Amino acid sequence: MANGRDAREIKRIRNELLVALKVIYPGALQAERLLRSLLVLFPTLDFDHLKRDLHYLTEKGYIQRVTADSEGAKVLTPWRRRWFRLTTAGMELADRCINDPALEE
Amino acid sequence: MPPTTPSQTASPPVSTRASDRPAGRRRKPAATRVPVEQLLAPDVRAALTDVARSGGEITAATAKELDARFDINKRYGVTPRRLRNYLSRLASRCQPRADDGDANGATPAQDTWPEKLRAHRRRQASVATILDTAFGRLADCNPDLWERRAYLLLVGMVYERLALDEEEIPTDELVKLAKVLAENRRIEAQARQAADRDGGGPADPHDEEKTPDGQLPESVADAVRQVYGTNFNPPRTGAHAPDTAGVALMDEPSPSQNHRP
Repeated sequence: MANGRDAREIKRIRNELLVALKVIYPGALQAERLLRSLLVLFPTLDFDHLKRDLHYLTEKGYIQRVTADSEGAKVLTPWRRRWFRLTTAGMELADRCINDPALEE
Repeated sequence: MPPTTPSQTASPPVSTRASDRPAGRRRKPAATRVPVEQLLAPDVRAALTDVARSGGEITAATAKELDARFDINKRYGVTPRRLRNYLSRLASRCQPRADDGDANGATPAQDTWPEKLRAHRRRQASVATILDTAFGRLADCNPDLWERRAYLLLVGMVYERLALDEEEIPTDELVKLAKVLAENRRIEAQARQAADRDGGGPADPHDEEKTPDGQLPESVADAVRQVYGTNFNPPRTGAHAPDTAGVALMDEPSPSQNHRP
């Protein structure tokens, strides 16, 4: 159990992140919008948890951060305002064309 | 508890058959009725859950603060006089039970998860259909679009309102949102045509409207003010809600008024 969440809930949150981004693929959503879209299913989800999951999915190659030229120094953009979109691998996972045991419930 | 016999009941049993009830007063069967706490918007429910979990009481001051944050009176039609009792009842119903979830009591009841997920999926499917129809297929990933933060903010806002709001988005707001989005797309198309004519790179239609530090408008309110020259007065829906729908009536008609989204 990490951060008060069991393994099942962790996987559910990560899967729902992918599904939410899949709806708007190949467009992007801001992290804050993603959080709000998940609150309906996970009312106690907070932003720190979401950040960790976004980091995890980015490092796994399922999502990627999108930066616009107008953002300037990308490291200075607040996390809530950063844009994320699915990668091709993330799209395949969201469509269940491929499996990832770490995300299977 | 032994079952009661008809002679022991205090009053005659009330028929539960739908055909016996007066027309217009049919209730959904108990199995399909949704508990009122699940009809609350997520931000309101989260706030009430926090209050309940911390053991705090809904005082008059707390009720007033919650009303100011979430517009309880406006959203749910609760008069100020009844506000405190209403919120107290809701907080007690939002309180996680001892047998729910883990030690933090934070996980949703497992038996309602499939229904919640199904309802969520239905909303997402509807939103996906609407986005695909209204904004065209975003299949050609256009990096230029990423710079139009106002456009993407609005798309995200539409997605959020359609997918998440438990209450129906008013038609007026939806029409205004659609008009703002259509106007933004028209501006982009014009800029692209102008750029093609000039033979230069794609023009940013918001160049002249950028703030002095070279950034695009920070919020939808700024974007709407720059596009329409009128103020954007969103209704307050929560502490974290940036800008929600609710474009103020325009003072003057703009050329885009006749443009159908």
